[in-house]
Amino acid sequence: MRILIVEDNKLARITLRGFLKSHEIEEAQTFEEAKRLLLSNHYDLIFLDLDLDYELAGLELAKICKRRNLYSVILTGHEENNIVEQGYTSGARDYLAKPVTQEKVDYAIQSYMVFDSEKRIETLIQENYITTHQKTIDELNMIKRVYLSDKAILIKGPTGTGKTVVAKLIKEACRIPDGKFISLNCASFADTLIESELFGHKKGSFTGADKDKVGLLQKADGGLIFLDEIHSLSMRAQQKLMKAIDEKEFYPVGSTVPVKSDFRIITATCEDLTELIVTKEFRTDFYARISHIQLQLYPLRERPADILELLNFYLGKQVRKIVITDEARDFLVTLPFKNNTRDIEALVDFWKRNGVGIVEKKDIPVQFLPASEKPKTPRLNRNQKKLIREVGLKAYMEIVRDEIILQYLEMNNQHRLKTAEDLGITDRTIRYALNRKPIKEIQLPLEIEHENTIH
Amino acid sequence: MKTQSTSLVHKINNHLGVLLSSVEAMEANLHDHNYLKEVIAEICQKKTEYREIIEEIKEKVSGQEA
Repeated sequence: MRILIVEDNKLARITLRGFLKSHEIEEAQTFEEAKRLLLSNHYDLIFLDLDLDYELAGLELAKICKRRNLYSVILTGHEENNIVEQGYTSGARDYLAKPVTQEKVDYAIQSYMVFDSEKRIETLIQENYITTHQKTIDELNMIKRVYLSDKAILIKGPTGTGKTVVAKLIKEACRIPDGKFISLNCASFADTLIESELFGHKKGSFTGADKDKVGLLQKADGGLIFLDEIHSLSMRAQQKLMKAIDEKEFYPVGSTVPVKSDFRIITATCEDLTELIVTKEFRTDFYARISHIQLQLYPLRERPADILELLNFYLGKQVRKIVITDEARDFLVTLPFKNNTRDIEALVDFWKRNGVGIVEKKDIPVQFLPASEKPKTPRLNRNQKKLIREVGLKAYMEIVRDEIILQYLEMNNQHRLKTAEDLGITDRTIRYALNRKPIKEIQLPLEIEHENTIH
Repeated sequence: MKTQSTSLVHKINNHLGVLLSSVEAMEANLHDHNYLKEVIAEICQKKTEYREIIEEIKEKVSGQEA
C-alpha cells in the first residue's frame, strides 16, 4: 500500500512510519509539499495532521484528497466538535485523535481495506451487470456486505436475468481463483448421476464407475461452488448436500471414508422454492441451509429502462453499426422478453445475421412480440382434430413442423441454409425432416406467406 | 504563519503524547536498530522542550497545591 504521511513534527512522522513498516511510505512536512505530492502522485491512504504551516491547513489537503478520490485520515490533537465536523465535511474518511497508537493506525488501514474492496466490487458490478434499476442495484450492492462472510447465498430470478453473472461477481468479490470456482447446473444431470458429480465415487460403486472420481464439492475445497437450477436437485441429493454443508464432510458414492472440504455454496433458481416446499418437492431444512442470504434479480418487464441499456450494450459490441428508430425503441420497451437478457442478445444477433442496419418495428421477429400481436392459430378442422387423436399432439406437431420446413425449402429453391436461417432452426433439423417417412399427409393449420414472416 | 498554541494541554499532546507514541513505535521495531537510532536521536533533540513542559506542569501543580 502506498501511504503519504503529512506531519510537521519530525518525531511524529518517524513514529507513524514505525507503525506502517510493511507499506511504501512518503512524507511531507509542509502544506505546499503535501499539496504538490497529492496533485502529482497516487496514494492509497493519506494521514493528515491538521496544523501545518498554518492552523488547520490539513483541512484544505483533505479537500484535495476528496476531489482526487483519495482516502484521507486526519490524525490530530484537535478534538473540538466543530473541527471534527469540518474534518469530515472536508472529505476525510476517518478522524483520529493523537496520540497515535498501533491500534489507531491498524483501524485506519482496516477501514481503508473495506473502502477499497467496496470500491472494487462496485466497479465489478458496474462493468458486469447492466442496469439502471434501483431495486436491482440495491440487491447487487449486497455483495459488498456479504463477500467476506461464508454464509450460503441463494440467487433468485427468472431465466436470463444474469444469475450466473452474479455468482461470478461474488467469486470475483471474494477473490476466489478460477480453479476454485466450481459451477454446476443441477438440471443437466439425471438424479442418479448428480450425486456422483457432487460427492465423487469409488471405482466399482456402480456400473460404469471404472475408476475413482473426485466430486465437485472436494474440488471446491477452499473455494466456492455454484449450483444453478437448484430446484431440480432430487430430495435425496438435497439431504446429502445439506449434511455436507453442515459438517463440511461427506462420503463419495460407494466409499466408507469421509472427505473433508471447506467450501462456500451459492445456489440459483428461477423457481419459487417456497412453493416447491409446499408441494413437498423441496426440503425445508435444505432451503434453510442455502438461503441465509438471498439476492433477488428482476425480469426486464419490471425494469423496461434496462431493455434499451442492454440493446445499446449488445449493439455496441457489433463491428457493423446498427441504429434503432424512435418508433421501434418505443415499441421495444413494451415487449415482454420472457427470456430477458438472452432475448435481447438473440434479437441483436438476429439483426446482425439478417443485415438489418436501421431497425424498424417490422424488424422485430414474431417470437418477441406479445401474444396480442402474434398471428392467431386458425381453428382446427375436423380432419386435423381426428389426426391429433390418432397420432397424439407431439407427433402431430412434428408433422406440422416438417411440413413447414418442406414448404420453406420449396420457397427457397431447396436452399437448406437459407431455410434454416429463415426458420431459426439448424440444418440438422432440416435433414431430419427430409429423411423422415411421412406418417400422414395433413393440411397445415397455418397459412404461410413468406413475405409476412421474419424479415 | 502557524499560530502556535500555548495551552499546556496542547503542549502535553504535541510533545509528551508524541513521545509516548514513539516509545510504542520503538517497542514495535526493537529489531530495527537504524529505526531505533533515528527515533532516539529525534527525542534527544527535543530534550529542552520536554524539560520546559515538565517545569510548567510543576509550576501549575504547585500553584494549585498552595
